[in-house]
Amino acid sequence: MSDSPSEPVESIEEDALDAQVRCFLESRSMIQAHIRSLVRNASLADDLFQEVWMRFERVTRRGEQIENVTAWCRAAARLVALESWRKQGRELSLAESKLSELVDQAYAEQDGREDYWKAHRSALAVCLEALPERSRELVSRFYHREQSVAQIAQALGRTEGSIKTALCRVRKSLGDCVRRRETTTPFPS
Amino acid sequence: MKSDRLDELLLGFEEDLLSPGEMEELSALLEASPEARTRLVGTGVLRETAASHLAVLSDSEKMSVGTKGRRSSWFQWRPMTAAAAGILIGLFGSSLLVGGSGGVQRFLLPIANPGFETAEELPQVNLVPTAGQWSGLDTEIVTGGGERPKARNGQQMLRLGPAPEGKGYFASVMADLTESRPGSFGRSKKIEVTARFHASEAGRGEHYLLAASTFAETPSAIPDLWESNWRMMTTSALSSTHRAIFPTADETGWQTITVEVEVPLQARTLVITLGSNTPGPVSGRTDHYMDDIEASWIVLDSPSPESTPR
Repeated sequence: MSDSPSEPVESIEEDALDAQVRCFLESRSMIQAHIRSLVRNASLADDLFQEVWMRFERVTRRGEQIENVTAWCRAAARLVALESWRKQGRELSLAESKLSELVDQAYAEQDGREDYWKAHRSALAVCLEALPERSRELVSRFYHREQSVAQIAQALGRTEGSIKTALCRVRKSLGDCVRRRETTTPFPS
Repeated sequence: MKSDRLDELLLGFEEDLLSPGEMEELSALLEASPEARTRLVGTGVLRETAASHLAVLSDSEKMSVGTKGRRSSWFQWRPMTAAAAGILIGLFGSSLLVGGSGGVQRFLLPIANPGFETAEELPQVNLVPTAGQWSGLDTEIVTGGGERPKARNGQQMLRLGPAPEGKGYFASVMADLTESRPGSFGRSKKIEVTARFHASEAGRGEHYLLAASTFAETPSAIPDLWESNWRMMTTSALSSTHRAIFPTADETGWQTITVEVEVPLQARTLVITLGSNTPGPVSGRTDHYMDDIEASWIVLDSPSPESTPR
């Protein structure tokens, strides 16, 4: 069994393979979120997610068993991110490396809480729809259209500071809305 | 924990705009507090959920604009051929308003054979040096139904063969932007592209990609920039965007992807690329289908950065 893309693994049957693929697909939101947090660039995150998928698929097709799919994918994402940065000639500073480790830790701490995050995403979807039009426009620009704060500020004729404040406010309001809808504890005790 | 400060730092972190000092400050907060780390995960989950959910909302809202009686209906141009679109544009000038609200106007951007209803043989190369012609390796226009899925609209659709060696297969088309650029000088412009994909076996890890890139070169010069796939091309593009979907077992039927790409003033050509990738051995792979490609100009009230008077 393996939690790391480079460790030896056991052979598995077709059913187990399908189960692993299903597990990957069920975890994909979390895997994508982890990668996005790691690289903070939408296009690169999409590319890396596809690369992680291809590596995952190659490993499982070879008949290797991955016990913890999300942990394996986190490790794979870290590897492909490092490879990508190396190709770009980007060297991580100590502060960036430390933050990357904390990103990994933060997502690792959520292993086993898939049901919580599934419910969280459902509640979030409802809360997003309930946002006032202006707030939804802001969220759409930042998250869906991937516009930067500077681009949004320019498009709306506002200052970057006011956009940041508005985004923080909308996120807080979404957090409050989600908490009202959640039935499980929001944070680990 | 300083909640407001954490929010600010997380926002800067998401934008990759933190200074070294701010990175250390965020690290300290994250290291000290499990709640802060959970909040970090929460911001990632919010981004993923908002991106996918708002894309769905955006698509369904566009499709229903006509029934809500807004200023003008969203242009259902699926049955219209590129030639017909050209005639309409000829009648109404260089740009055809197809919808608009709240300071945003939409104009038709005609692309070739958007529903693949015109039977034609597609050049089996990555990109042909002319606008208005779909091309790609192992691509063809086929009739839906029977052993294949039904076309999303009309009778025909695009088929992409299963790619060998774990690589994706791509079909692409170019549009000459100088022919359809709306005349609203000085306003920001984007292009929105929507495409539909049908998984041969949903839930098997197949994934689909829609990419859109703009170039300063005329269409005839673009194929020289194409090395092996769209990723290489994006390094030469003025602007570029892409989005992929991974249909789960529940997501059978036609799936929709929409992307928006910024259009700098100097952009002359748009390249739209549809891609598919299937995991697993080549022997077990199956065909993929695409249909109903739509493209429109979006003109915003905000001034274009390139044309702001100095």
